[in-house]
Amino acid sequence: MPSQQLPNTIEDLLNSFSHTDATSDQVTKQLLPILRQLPSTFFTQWIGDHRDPLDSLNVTRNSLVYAYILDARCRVDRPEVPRLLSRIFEFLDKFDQQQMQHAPEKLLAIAQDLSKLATQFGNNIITFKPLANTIIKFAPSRNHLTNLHQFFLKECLLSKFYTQALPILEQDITEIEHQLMGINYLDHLLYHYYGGMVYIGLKNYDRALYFFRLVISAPAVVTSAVQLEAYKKYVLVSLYLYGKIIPLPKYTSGVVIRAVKNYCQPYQDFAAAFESLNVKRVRNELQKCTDIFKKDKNLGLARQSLEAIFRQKIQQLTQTYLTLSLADIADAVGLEGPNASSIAEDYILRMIETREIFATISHSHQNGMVSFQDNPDRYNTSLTITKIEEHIAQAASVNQRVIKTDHLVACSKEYLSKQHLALSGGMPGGLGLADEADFLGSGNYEPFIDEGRFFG
Amino acid sequence: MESIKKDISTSKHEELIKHISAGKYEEVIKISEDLEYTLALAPNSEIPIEEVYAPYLAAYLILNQLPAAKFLWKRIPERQKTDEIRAIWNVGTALWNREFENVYGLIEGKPWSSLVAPLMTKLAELVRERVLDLLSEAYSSIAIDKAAQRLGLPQEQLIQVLTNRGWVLDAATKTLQPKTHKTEIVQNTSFTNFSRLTDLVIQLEKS
Repeated sequence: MPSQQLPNTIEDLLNSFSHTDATSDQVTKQLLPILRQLPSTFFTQWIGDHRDPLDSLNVTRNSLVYAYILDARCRVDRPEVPRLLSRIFEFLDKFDQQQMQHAPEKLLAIAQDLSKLATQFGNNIITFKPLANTIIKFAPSRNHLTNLHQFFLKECLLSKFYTQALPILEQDITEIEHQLMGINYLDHLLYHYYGGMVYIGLKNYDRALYFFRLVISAPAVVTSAVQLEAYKKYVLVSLYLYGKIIPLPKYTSGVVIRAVKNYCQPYQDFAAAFESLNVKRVRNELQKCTDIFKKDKNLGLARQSLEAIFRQKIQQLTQTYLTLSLADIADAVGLEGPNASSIAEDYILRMIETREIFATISHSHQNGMVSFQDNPDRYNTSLTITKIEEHIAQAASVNQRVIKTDHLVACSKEYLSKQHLALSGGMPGGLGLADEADFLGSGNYEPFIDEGRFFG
Repeated sequence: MESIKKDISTSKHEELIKHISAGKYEEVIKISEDLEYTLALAPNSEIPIEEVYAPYLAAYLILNQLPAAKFLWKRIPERQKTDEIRAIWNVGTALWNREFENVYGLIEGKPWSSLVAPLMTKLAELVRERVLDLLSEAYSSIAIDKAAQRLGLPQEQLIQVLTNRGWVLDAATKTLQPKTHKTEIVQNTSFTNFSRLTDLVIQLEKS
């Protein structure tokens, strides 16, 4: 096949590669440039005697061409919804992973077509299973980020099908191969931002906080709007969980930190009020920020964190008192109204259930007394051991990954050329060999000295 | 093709009914999810979709997966929200707001369809069990009327149920005192502990 000559009809195109093995690397290399040059109207043609070109293609062997034709057909004015849907289902079920890695943008295009057609069909529920399966099939491992990830999460959010996102979200992303998976920087930010939103919806706030932190601390030269939005949610979730803003990681980019100060002031004011643990002040601040929070679609989250302040204050009381009456507790945490003691009792019950505090309530005395206790768990059971073991295993696997990444960096062209520059004295203050051993030497770590503190 | 899909959904629906009566609620959710998908693709007039949604929603409540239940409720198209589905979600809202005392009334005062009835009976039972556990952990003594309200039982019946479980009635202060109980944690020591320990030491030696 001459590489520069474009085929005139779809028949020519199909004939031109039908005699070679369609999955071979060579065809992909020659075929793809041609496909990319052809206009979309080219792919909506039919073969001479009204035969469907898709019928003469093998979905797996000719995935690339199939994808181009299918996508073009989905984008015409009035697509044939049911027939195209079953074509897409078949394609997503059988496409060849390696071929599509050469054109990940087409795979994404088909996923978008699917969602659009499903809306016309009248029910987006039909997209979730095929999309989730496609991600699993397309990614080389469950830890790879693909260009479909963030799109899939957005669909879950829009269709209120949060639980469907969990099997994907539970796998941490550790592998980034931007060319094969067709991803860019924004895909990473959006995926974790949407992921955080899903976890908020499902009330898994710890994991939501972690996802937002990944977004904010992503290396940046300029701040993305996604990072700002993530920061706003990060503040509120952090208040809900811990009553204060958890400091951002040290490696957070300076640009982001400055941008956050400029653009997220109301959130920081709210947090400052919150940290004072003054209920009145927090209520006032919330009143003041209501419009902004509403505009950012964070009002519900802010109201929930307001509830957290009462829990924080009750938690504090346990540090100071052994027993207190319900009325005193209600008074101390700032609950008002005729039902204050009974509301306080509800809070305490809830905190006992979630094991945030350890206490018993007694109705034998008038109006009810609460006695606070210490955590009865002495951490001397096999449960604790199992937990520690889990964490050690996790740390070991992270360690392995660090060594691997470290090795990759040490072998990379960029690093070696910088090394070379530094050695020949071309880079003032650059990375000299002497610095290198401290943080980049492969596997060269300080031995772990226990001194009997942890495992004594 | 269409008829095959119909067969699939019909057989899944039968499976669903089997899981409900067997009390396998995780399976109920899994099958319902499948059915939601299959029926969206190829509607089957023999299975009204609201018959799928009702047990689906109830199963989420039984497993105390309230956020998932809430999103299912939001996802159900308005025209398919039957009275029964609405009634189930009323129970869900009470659970969401932790108004346990309302849950029993909302469940017991309703004529449920034969498909949903066993699920709702189970739900009331589980909520009562959960509240009872919480009360016995959180109180050293609780006023009779308060306990009766939280458990949704008339006072005489409450006293009988609780004293049967070893609670002590203090008529003078009109309170009930829970039986103090400690849950024993089973301590397993076996060869796997040793093998894990060796793995750990090897790991530390390596670094």
